[in-house]
Amino acid sequence: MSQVEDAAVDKVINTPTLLFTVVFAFISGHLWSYTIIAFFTTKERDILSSILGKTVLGLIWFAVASLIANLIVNKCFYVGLDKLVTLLPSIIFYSIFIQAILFTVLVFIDKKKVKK
Amino acid sequence: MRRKRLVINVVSGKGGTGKTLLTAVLAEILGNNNVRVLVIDLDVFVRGLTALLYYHKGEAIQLTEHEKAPVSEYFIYPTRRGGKKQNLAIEHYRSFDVVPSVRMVNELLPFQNIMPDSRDEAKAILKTILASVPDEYEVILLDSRAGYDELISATHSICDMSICVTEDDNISAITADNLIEQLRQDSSKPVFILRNKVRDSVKSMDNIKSAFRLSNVGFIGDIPFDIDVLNSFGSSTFWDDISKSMYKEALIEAWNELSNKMKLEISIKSRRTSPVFFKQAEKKLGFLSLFDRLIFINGITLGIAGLFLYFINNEHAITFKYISNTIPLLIAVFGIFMSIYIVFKSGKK
Repeated sequence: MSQVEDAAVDKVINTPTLLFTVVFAFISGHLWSYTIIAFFTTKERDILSSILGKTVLGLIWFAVASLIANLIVNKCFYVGLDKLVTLLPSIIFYSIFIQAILFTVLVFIDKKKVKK
Repeated sequence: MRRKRLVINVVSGKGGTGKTLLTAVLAEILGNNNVRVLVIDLDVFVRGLTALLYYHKGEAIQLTEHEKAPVSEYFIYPTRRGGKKQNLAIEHYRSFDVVPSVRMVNELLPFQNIMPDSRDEAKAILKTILASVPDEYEVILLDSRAGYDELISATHSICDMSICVTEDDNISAITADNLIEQLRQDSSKPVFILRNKVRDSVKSMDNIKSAFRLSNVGFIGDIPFDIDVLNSFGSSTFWDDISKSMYKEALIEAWNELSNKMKLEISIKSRRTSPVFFKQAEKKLGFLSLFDRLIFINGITLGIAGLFLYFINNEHAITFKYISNTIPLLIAVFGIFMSIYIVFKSGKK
C-alpha cells in the first residue's frame, strides 16, 4: 500500500496540473463544506471541517464534472490519465463556475425562505 | 447536576457600544446550549432590550400579564413587592427568558420618582428582584443602562462579575476606563472588557495597553465589525443572519475565554466555518456582507482558475460550438473585476 501511496504522491508532485487540481479541490471543497454547514445541516460534521475532508469533497465534485467532460470530449466512459490531465484545467474552471452559480442561487433561495 | 447560579452584569461607559444586542445574542447562544438563561432589562428609561425583542414595526404590545411585575414595578413600588417569586414577569423568547423593563414598550413612567436615591436603596431593589427569580435559572444576565449611577454601582456589587462592552476608539476606551475605575472602587468583583465592532484588532491592541491602565481587569476578546449585523438588525432574517455571522463566532470565543478565566465550566463549541479561508482575513472583510464575501471568494477563485486555463493550458481547453477558448479568460477577468468592485463599493459605504 505504501508503494502505491508513494507512487501517487510522486505523480501528483511532479505533474503541475495534478498539484493544481489538488489545491483547487481543497478550495472547492472548502466552499462546498461552508455551504453544507451553513445552509443544510444543524449537526456537527467534523469531517467537513478538516483539510482532508474538504479536499475529498472537492475531488468528488471534480470527478463528477470530469465524467461529464470526458463524455462530451472523448465520447466514452473510459478515462485515460494522460487525456484526463490535459482536460483537468478546463474541468476545474467550469466546475468552479457552475459552483459559483449554484452558491448564488442557494443563498437567494435561503434568503427568500427565511423572509417568509 | 445544576450549576451554581451565575449573575453577570453587562455595562458600558457610553451608549451605542452594542451592549444590549450583545447581551441578547449571548443569551441565545447559551440557551441553545442547554443553559437556562434569564435576561433582566434594568434600563427602564431606554428599555433597549425590551424594544429589541418585542417592538416590531411600531406596534405597541402588552408584554406582561397584569398581575406580573416587570422591572419598573420594582422601582416604582419598592416597598410593596416583598420578593414573592410568582410576581416577577418572565417571558419566553427563543431559547432564553426575559424580564422586560416595562409592561408596554411605549409605557410612560413617573420618571421623577422611579430611580433609587442611593446605592443601598438600589441594592435592596435588586436583591428583591433576584429573590423573585426561580431557582431553575443557571445564568442571569443583567442588561444595565450605559454610564454610571447608583443602580450600576449596586448591580456590580451584587453580581458575580461585570462585562464592560466598549468599542475600539479612544473615546470608548476612556469612558470604559472611567467606568471600570469607578466600579473597582465600589466592589472587588471582577470586571472583564469585551470590545465590539472592532475593525483592526492588531492596531487596537495598543489602545488596550495605553487606555486600560488597570492590571487586574481581564480582557476576554474582540467582536469584529460585521456589516451583516448592522444590515439585518430589526429585520425578519436577523436571528438567521446572526447564526451565520462572525459576530456570533467571536462572542462564543469571548464567552469561552470568560468561562476559562472564571472556571465556569460552560464551554460552547462554535460550528461556524468561514467562507474565506483564514478567519483573520475574514475579519478584515467585515465591511462586506456574507453574500458579498462569497461573491468575492468565488470571483477570485474563478479568476485564478480562468487565467491558469487560458495562459498555461489553452491548447487543451475544452471548447464548444459557441464557446471559444477566450470565454474562460473573459469570465476570469469578470470574476476578478466583480471581487474588486464589491470591495470598493462596500468600502465607500
